[in-house]
Order: sequence, then structure tokens, then C-alpha cells
Amino acid sequence: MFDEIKEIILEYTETEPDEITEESKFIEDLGMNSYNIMCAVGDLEDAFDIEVNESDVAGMRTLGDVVEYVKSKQG
Amino acid sequence: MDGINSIKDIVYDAAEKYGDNPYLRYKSGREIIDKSFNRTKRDSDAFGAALLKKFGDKPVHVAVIGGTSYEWIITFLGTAISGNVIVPLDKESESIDDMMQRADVNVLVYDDAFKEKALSAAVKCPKIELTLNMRDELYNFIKTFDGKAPNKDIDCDNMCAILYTSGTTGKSKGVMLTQRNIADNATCIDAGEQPGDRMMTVLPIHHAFCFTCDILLGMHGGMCVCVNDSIMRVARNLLLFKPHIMLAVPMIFASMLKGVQAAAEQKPETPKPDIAKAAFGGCLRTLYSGGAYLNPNIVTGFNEFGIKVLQGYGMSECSPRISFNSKFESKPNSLGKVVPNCEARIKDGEIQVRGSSVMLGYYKDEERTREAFTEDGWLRTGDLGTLDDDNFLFMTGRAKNLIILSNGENVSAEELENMFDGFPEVAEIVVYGNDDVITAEIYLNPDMDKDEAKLSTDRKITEINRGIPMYKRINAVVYRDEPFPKTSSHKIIRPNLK
Repeated sequence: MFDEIKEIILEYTETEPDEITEESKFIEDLGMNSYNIMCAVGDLEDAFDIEVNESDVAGMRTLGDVVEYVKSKQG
Repeated sequence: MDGINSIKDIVYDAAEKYGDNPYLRYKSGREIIDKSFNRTKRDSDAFGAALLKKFGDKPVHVAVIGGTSYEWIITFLGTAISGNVIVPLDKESESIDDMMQRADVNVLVYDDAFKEKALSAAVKCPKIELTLNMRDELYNFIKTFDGKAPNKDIDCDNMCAILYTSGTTGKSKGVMLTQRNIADNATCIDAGEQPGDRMMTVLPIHHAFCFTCDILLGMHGGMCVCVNDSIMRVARNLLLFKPHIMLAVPMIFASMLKGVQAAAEQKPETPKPDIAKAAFGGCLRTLYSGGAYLNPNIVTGFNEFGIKVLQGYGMSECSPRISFNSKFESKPNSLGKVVPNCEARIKDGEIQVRGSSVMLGYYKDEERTREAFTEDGWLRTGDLGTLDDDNFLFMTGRAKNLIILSNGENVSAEELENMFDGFPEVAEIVVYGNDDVITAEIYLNPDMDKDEAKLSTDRKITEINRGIPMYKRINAVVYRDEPFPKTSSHKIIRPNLK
């Protein structure tokens, strides 16, 4: 799952793929902005067939947070 | 202005001209729903009539919280049509109870997605007599009033809205606008769009830029306003709704441009306009930008894809447009031509304005109202600029201490700095926006152990970030070894960053 999420995130960051880890922070480490984060999470809806609440995005600061979130949505 | 002086005039005039044509288009589950100009007027009338029946002639203050929806819009329009006062609230705000108390709110209409937040705030507001969720209580409230119109004369120059805007000192200010302020701003100029054109609304609806320029200007122009249900789904909704025009902030345009530029690099043989058509639904021709500085590269970049980007300038205090570039009249790098119902001048470098869209003042805040206007009655924008002979404005800087992010959000640096009051580890702090990243520059208390103070300050920042909306969060910290340079009156000299 991490690799799939990383693929999506790569669309929104110029960071080299091998520098991206679960601990990478979207804003500080990957240079993303709040809108990019929203778009990336929106893409996850399609990729994992889940529905994301916009307000949940505020709690996602790292890739690891997103992995956990998607897992929780998939039950 | 076609004899249109109020929000009520806009709603009634549009229903008469465009009748059963679609006005609002939105997704509901897998369905696409259209609400016509007539239906919107009828439901707005019913809400206004129900308010008058329940509360009588004395104006009530109606707060509304939620994302863009049909129910939000009829609450807004119905409140205005019945001569009451609308208080749009930011669904992301952490202090809606304070805002509602300060605005003397009597009625709260809320989207169920914010039920807990809305109701827990409502119990702290003793003046609230009625709360309605948008799911069923709102419809129950209006159902016996279907076909009825509020029978009340409107004074176009009375307050009809209180909008909260970031203050530079931290506490938000309640901008008082009249029906005339808003209606004049929405109708003062023909932007050249056509009835039946689709516009997609992506801005937060509690902002004046959205409800004046998407919701009301769209209605006045007979356009079909398509609701983007989440900022996460802009790309998908562009393909779904196929809009002709869109209003947004530079951050969104920058991201859209980056997407098509990447696609163009991958398919160099495909003409760029075709790439844009495939990405944006095929009809998109004009983007109106506001809320923050627009990098000229975005304008030239979109031009290559056959899409015009036009920059405007405004603030809630002006309902909000002060100037804008239109497809008829525009100048590169300008904020646009001053709108016809507004005058601008430059005094001591500052852009100052007056006209029929300028607010009455700040609600119950005489001091800040006084500060906002010059002695001869011009509104101080706090922005530095120039005005050319053709009445086009150009910005050169900001006189006030407000961080403007490219997503259009305004963040008070002092509000964030004040959160460290009484926290002994931080001796001095300055918060600023650095290339869109909110940065705290800190000089730690020299009497404390540096490493421990740093650790404890990092924890404090995490705790502060947890309690505030995402756009306000401190995302970078710089620790200084020396105190900040000071003025002769011992005020910190703030770093001069964008």
C-alpha cells in the first residue's frame, strides 16, 4: 500500500522517489502545499475506492498517517 | 446597474429572466441535481417568510455554517430577502462560538457534517433561539411557506451581513455590509460571460469572493453555478461539470497549470489547448484569480493552453471587489481596473477606496472602524500600490501585518505569536509567511537550558497546531542565536519577507 500511495504523492512533489519514506512530512519534507495535499488525498479515493472526509485531511501530516487512514477506511 | 439595489432584486430579476433554467448544479450521491432560478427564489422566499412569521419585523441574525450547498444558498438569500442579517461562518474556524456571540446570532443553520461543532458552540450563545440542520429541519421549517414571499420592505442601506475577516492583531473583525454594498459589487460590471455559461464554484462560500462573485454574479448573469463538493475533487469535477469559467485563488491555478504542463511534456506532439481541453472538461476559457498575489508566470503559462487568467483585487470590507481585469480591459501585472462603483486613490503609498461597496464598519467595534477609515471617509486597504491614468491599480507591498497565503487565506501573524504569551521558553517570536510556509522565528530564553527549551518549544508548537485549522499551522521553525533587531521604541523589526 505504501508504494501505491507514494506513486500518487509523486505527482505532487519534486522530491526524488527514494527519498520518500513513511516518515516524510508533506509540507516540511516534500515541499507540498495544503491544496496539493487535498488533491493527493482526493486521488486516493479513486485508487482505493474509499470516501474521505475533508476534515480528516487535517490530521494527515506524513505518508505514514495516510497509510494508517486508508487502512482504517478499508476496515 | 439595471435598477438593482439589493440581493432581493438580484434573486427576483434572475427568476424573471431565466425562470426554469438551471441555476445551481450539484452532486448528490451518484446523481446530478439542478435547481432552477425559479426554484431557488421560491425556496429562498419561503425561508424568508418563515423567519418573519417566527420572529416578526425585528431583524434577526442568522448564522450559517457548512460547505457550498443549495441549503446554504437559500438560507443566505432568504435571510437577505426578508431584511434579516446573515452571518456566514468559516466551517474550519476554531472559534465559531465567539463569532456567534459577538454577532448577536439568533438563528443557526448548519450542515450536518458540522453538527457537533455547531451545536456545542450554540449552547454557549444565549441569544440563539433556533437551530436548524440543513438535512431536514430547514425543510420542515419552510414547508408550510412554499409559494409565500416575505412581505417586508427592504432598506438597501441597512446592515444585511456580518462577515468575519482576519484582523491584524489576532481577533477577527465583523465586517458589516448592506444589501446595496453586495448587490452593487455583484452587478456593477458586465464581465462578458453569457447566460447559460457554466461556472464552477470552488471557493469557501463564507468568503465574499465566493458568494458575491460566484453565487450572486452567477445568478445575475443567468449562469449555471456548478458546486465543487470538495477541494480534494477539483480535477474530477472539472471533467464532470465542464465549466466555462472558474474563480479561484492562485494556489489552485498553479496546481492546475503544473498538471497540464506535465501532460504537455509527455505528449509534445499534442497541441497544448487540446491537452487543456482533455484535463479541464473541454470548455474552460477564463479563470478569475483573487485573494492573493498571482504570479505572472501563471497567466503566461495558461495562455499557451488557450485559457485566459484575469486577476482581481478586493477585500471583505469592499464586498469584495475593488478592481479587476476583464476580457475587455486588462493590463499585465495589474490588479485590474477599479470597478465603476468604487473610487481609488493613493495616499502616502497606500491604496484607499470609497464607493457603494464599501462597508458600514466593523460590528460593535468603533475603535477598529475608526482606524479603518481616513478622516475624510476613505477606507484604508493596508496595501501599498500605484494607480495609473487609466484607473488600473498595481500593488507594491503590504502596510499591514497579515500573512496572505496563495490559497487566499489571511493569517494574522500576531494571533499566532500571541499563543506563546506566558510560555517562558520563548523570549521573542516573529511569525511570517515564507514562500507559503508559515514560519516561526524564535529567540529562546537565554536563561534556560537551550536544548530543553527547544524540545519544550517544539512540543508547544505541536500542541498549538493541533488546535487550529490546517492553513494556519506553523510548519517551519527557525531558532535564532541573537535577539531580533529592534526599533528605537523597542519594537521588533520584522523580517521583510513576502
